[in-house]
Amino acid sequence: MSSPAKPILQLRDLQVSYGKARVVNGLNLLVRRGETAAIVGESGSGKSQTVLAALRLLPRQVVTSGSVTFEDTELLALSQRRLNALLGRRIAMVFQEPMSALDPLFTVGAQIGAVLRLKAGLRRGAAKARAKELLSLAGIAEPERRLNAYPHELSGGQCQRVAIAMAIACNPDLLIADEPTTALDVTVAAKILDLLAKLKQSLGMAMIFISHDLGLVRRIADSIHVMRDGEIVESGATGEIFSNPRHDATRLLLETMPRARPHIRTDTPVLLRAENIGVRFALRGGLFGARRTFKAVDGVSLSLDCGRTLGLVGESGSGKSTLARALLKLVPASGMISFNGRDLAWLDKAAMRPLRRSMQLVFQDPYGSLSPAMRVSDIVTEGLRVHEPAIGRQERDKRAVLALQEVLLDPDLRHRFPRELSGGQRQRVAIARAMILKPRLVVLDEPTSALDRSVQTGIIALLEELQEAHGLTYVFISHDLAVIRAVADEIAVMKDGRIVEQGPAQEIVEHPREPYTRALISAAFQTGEA
Amino acid sequence: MLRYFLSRIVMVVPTLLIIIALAFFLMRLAPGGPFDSERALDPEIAKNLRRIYKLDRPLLEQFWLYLQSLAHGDFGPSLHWRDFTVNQLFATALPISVALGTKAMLTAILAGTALGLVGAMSKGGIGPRLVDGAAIFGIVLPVFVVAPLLQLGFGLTLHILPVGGWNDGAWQNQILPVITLALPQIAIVARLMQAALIDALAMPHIRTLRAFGMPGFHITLHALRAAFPPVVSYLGLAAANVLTGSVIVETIFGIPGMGRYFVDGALGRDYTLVMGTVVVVAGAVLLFNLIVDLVLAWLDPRVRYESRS
Repeated sequence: MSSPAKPILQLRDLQVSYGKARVVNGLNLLVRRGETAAIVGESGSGKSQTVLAALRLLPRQVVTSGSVTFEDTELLALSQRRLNALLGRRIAMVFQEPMSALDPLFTVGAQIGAVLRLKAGLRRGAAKARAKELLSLAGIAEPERRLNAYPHELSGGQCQRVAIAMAIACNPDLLIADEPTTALDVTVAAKILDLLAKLKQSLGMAMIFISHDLGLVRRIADSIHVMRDGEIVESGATGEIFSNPRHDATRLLLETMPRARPHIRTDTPVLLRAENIGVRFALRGGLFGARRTFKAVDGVSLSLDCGRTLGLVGESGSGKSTLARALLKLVPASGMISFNGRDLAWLDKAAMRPLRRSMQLVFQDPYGSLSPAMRVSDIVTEGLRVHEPAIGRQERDKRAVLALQEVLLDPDLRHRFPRELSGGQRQRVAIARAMILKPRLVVLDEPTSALDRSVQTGIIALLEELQEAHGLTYVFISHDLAVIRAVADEIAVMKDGRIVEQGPAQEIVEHPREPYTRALISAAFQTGEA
Repeated sequence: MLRYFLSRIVMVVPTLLIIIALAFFLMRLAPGGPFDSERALDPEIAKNLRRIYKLDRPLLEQFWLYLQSLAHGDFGPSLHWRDFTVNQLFATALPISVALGTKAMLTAILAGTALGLVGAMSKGGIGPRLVDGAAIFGIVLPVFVVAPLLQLGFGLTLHILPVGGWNDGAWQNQILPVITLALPQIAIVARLMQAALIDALAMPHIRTLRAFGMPGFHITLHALRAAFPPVVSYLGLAAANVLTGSVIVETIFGIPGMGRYFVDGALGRDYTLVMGTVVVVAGAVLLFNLIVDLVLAWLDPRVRYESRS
């Protein structure tokens, strides 16, 4: 920017405290007219708390002090009525979870219409016409029809477009977007990002873009503010931050883009072979309606050698998880599966049990996959009770210690409950629970997706060490090609229940044949880091 | 929506049939009969009576006959009040109970919603706790304690309301029984409403409205709409509770409603009268639950959606 525009929003010495805990600690930030400022940091660094506090959206018991000026108005001292007059009209916000940010009980048209009637003073008819315009501006096809849709009838990306349409309803001067793409599939996220950039350009708004992903904001931000522990530790123009990061937190955020896995070729026996796997789910028919079936996995064949990693990549709903469960015989499937030379198709539950030990599963959500009522030691050793019932309490405890040490956790954590652990620690517990049985095949279902980038890198490094030490074979599922490239020897790209492209990792990433694969790649590596 | 409605209706018929069958056979299993009395009846007369009322036929045939007359809307003759048919008895008693029950339900919904709203919206921490405390009181106090206390206070001490009687439905006579019936339901609805509203106010879409600076009434409206489904789901159960509660309340206040037929009929082994009350009460509960289901579907588009796909 040649001549700096006038400031539109300025935070001075902003402090936010929940009781004694201070989550934002003396923060200063200046955003100018028409500028896109990104606030970047890991989860828990206070990014969202900062903007929510600035707009006074936090619960009553939270104490906010300092100063927030919008143009020349002090927001923290304003009456609720006068603040409401600014919100929605001149300052608008877009939230992370598009589905839950919209009221499930009202149609999209009613919700946009309410903003137009109550904030822009339009009459009902005019509001409807304008709502239609806004929807098409936000890139929603058939806006007329969509006006009558409820949020649950739309996809996540469409919901976020609706939320954006609502936000730009009154031509705001400042748009605050709090992780607007995090909850979306990568290819959808890229489109939403483009939309925001385009709207910002055409409407001349200033924008505050909050994200945990430094690579993502590079494309749209003029300036970047890196947060850690409730403070801004580094601020600067985007180019400057990328070319010359000064603070450790910034460097960490930059470094945590996963690197590609070195290419190794070895001749090892086949551990897992699957041919023509199909999984169908019956959709509940109506009272008199015919039952329909949905093909979650449709004619998939693959084979996986010992000690290697197969990366299954695809958007949510593409059938990755279902395929993985089918491979472990956790859902009924048609087709042939052989594990270590044994055909699994004919084995019943009891016959499968001894084999189960060799095939373990780690889930995506470390919060949901660990029983909240059990201590870590019991969680980790539960499998031993089934597969080695003979060993006693002391021996089990010894194994738990070893298993926790193996995943680089303090063994003392075994006396704790999952809720007392961080997300990364929990995922290590989940991995320890799988490793304690000395499996040969581990299916990792989005094991890093719920975690921060820097925590992700740690988990990936751990998984690689374990693989090397024990000769493990992985099926690694992710929607993120950047992660898949970092861990996988081979990649299979899934879409609508089928594998559309399959081959050595390097080849897939460097020479993708399918447009779908290319879309995934450009979404994952849009920072140009590759 | 129509298909949803039909599927619910279809469920009502077998449910009602099962209830009727259970009540019919259980009643016959109980010892004693409708013509038992202190002094044994002349065997010949007893035999004639049984023949007239077709109680000498095989049980299954009796059940079939009962279902047939029921299908014509005929509950049969009362075995105890021998000059009346059950339909005649109900013709006077049912409107009284329906009036009482409807008013009690309306009171519960309105007062409960209002209290829950006040509790959830109050800024300090004391509001919700106050509502919770009062609600616990309303739930644990049994009807047969509340009713005499009200009679004592408003009737005998203050002399502003009658202690009992129906007096052709004069409003003064209705106040105390309606309050007695409604009180526990007010308490439960208030608690449910308050909890649901507090949850609703913390929902992300309510935060969205606040972020858009929408006016307070608009936000309250959206929160109420989100809070209604759990409360409405309870109302089906509340209707059943009010119906059973009315047995006690009608007895205490001396009201000639359905309640006493329930008790008298069961004690006197008046088979047709008991069956009649069972059918009416079960029908009322099922009908009310049907209404609840429809209201839920109307309130929540996702219910409609699931029922469609």
